[in-house]
Amino acid sequence: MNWQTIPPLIQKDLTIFFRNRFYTLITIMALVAYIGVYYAMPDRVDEIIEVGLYAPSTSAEAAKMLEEDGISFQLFESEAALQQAIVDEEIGSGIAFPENLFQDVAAGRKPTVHIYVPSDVDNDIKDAMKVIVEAMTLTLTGRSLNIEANEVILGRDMAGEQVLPRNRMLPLLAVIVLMFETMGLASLLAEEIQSGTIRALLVSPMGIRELFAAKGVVSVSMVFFQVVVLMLVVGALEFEPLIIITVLFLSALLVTGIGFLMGAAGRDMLSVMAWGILAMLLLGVPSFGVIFPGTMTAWAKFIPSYYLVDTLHQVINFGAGWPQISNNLLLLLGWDVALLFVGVAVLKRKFA
Amino acid sequence: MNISRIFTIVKKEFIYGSKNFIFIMALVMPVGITLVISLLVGTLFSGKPRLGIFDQGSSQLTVKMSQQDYLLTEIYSSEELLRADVERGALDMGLVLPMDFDSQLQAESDTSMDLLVWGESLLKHRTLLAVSLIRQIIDVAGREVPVNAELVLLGEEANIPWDVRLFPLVVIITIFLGGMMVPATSLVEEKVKRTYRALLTTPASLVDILTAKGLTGVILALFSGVFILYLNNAFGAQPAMLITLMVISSIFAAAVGIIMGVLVKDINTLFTIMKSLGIFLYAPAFIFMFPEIPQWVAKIFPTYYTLNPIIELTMKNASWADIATDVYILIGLTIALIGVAGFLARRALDADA
Repeated sequence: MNWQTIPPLIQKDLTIFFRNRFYTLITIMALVAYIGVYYAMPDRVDEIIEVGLYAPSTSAEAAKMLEEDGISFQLFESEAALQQAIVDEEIGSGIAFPENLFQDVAAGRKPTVHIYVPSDVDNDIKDAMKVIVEAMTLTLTGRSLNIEANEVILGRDMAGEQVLPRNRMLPLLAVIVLMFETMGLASLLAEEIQSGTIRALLVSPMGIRELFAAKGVVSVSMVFFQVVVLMLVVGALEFEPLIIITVLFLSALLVTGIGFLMGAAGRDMLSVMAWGILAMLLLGVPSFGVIFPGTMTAWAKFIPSYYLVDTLHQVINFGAGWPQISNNLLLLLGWDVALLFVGVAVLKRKFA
Repeated sequence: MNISRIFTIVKKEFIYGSKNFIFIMALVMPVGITLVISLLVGTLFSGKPRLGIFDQGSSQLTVKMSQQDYLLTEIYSSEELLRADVERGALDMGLVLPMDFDSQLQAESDTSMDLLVWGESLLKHRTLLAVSLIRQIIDVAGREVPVNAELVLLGEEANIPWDVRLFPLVVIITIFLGGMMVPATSLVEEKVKRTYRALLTTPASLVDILTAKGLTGVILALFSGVFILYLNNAFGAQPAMLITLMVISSIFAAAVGIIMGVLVKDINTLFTIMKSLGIFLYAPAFIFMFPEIPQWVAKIFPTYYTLNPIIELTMKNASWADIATDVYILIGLTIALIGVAGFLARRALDADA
């Protein structure tokens, strides 16, 4: 291999890439936008139902009896104060017990409990609040049911330490950054094939191996740099940085292989983008399994990006280490080799 | 008009046009916008609690839990399947009911049930499922709830959440991106590549070509529109009427697209016109976003009549009587636009000849 011919080609490709204002602008704006979306998303999981409570003379006791892991009560001194707090959107809903709740129930009367909710709340929440109140008054009035519930937690119990929604989004953001960058390089490749400049390069002292090495280096370095910046800015490199960097590098190789395929399939920027969006949708599928748990079945493992997504999810959100994710990395490496081989073969056929 | 020729052109549009950027965007963008809106207003991660039940007998509890709209309940035929789905996070909770659950409850003897809880489920989902179970068990046991629970609504109804305010914008973008942009781009590309004239020399008539281009847009807009309604769980009480309206609105959008495709000569001009026209197309959706603006202003814009009946049906469960006037105006506008599109296309052809 003639190594000296590679750096000038890398320099040429980088110059051409940044000369295309569309891709340059998209590259910078998109990276800023992804980071912005990450930080715009909630930084806590809202897993407690907060309810205002007015319970005359027995407030503290009632709240203590009713309080469960998933519900917290904020006490109010009057029904009017509770109503005002809901109107002012300080609290989402409220319950007001009547003056003599316990005595009325004991006497066989059926007192009325008021549930206050904002008028724009949906019917599901109204129904749920009614059920909560009816079920809880059973506990409050000492009429609990004689049922033994054998509770088994499946998987690690994440109560109180839920995965942040934005951290569930992070694998998808990584896939998007990887693929968007690859589209730019694939369109350069497609245009070079169409205009015949690739053939012109091959009549120079540069061989076909040097050509692919240069294209590969440009693609991997551009993609890898951006996705590392994303992970760095959002703080994901705090968790097992070496694993994260390794998986991102392997993913950069993966999308480079896909980029070669797109470059062979497309004719110009628009057609490469069309192929690129399709590829991005497909590669994005496993990340939806992280965003919406339970939606994916085992078939998602046939999509190569699964191993990137699962590794990021396990490391960032569950603190996994090398033993848990080494299989993922090996399989991702296998996909890299396969896709780079196919990508190079298809491209060679295209301009042979 | 020849139906078989129209479908041949439509098939060609889907095979070759599907590689077009606008075609892909028409499918991807509405989903992307829905996702972004859901992320930003925080509705994406706050779904309903999901419960699975494996009932070894035929308990009334299973029926009652399935009737609760604020839960997603699924019945399982085996405990293994239920356990597997809880483990992978498809359910927040799995409930295994013994054979004689109801009779034990009613006899007030010791009763037990197995609850499988997914470790990552939110505490509020676990609590809501637990209290719902208690509430329905009270009914099955034949016991009485000791209190009357009375709902009191506070505040003004005009307080519309942002995901609701933004929904019309998603609908209108979906209809017009597929319905209008795809036929317009396709026609302009045919002109730029000089295949438009070649197409006219085939046995396909001008009407066949324009109908096929429009039909491609209608199919695409309809597909994306129905998908968006599904994603937003917004089919309302009358899905058949809703889909009919989506078809008419898509035809309206396609007619606008054909007019633009006939008048415009290159892609850059088309995009420039789109940028300038955009505000008029999307104006009703922006007005809907801000209830402080007098809502009658939206009626000035023709796209109001594509949007309003759909919003009335999806969000307010309106009846035919509520939307009939708007629908008649929409049909009138659509027929007029089809006429204008046909006239302009014929005139352009004559001018070229």
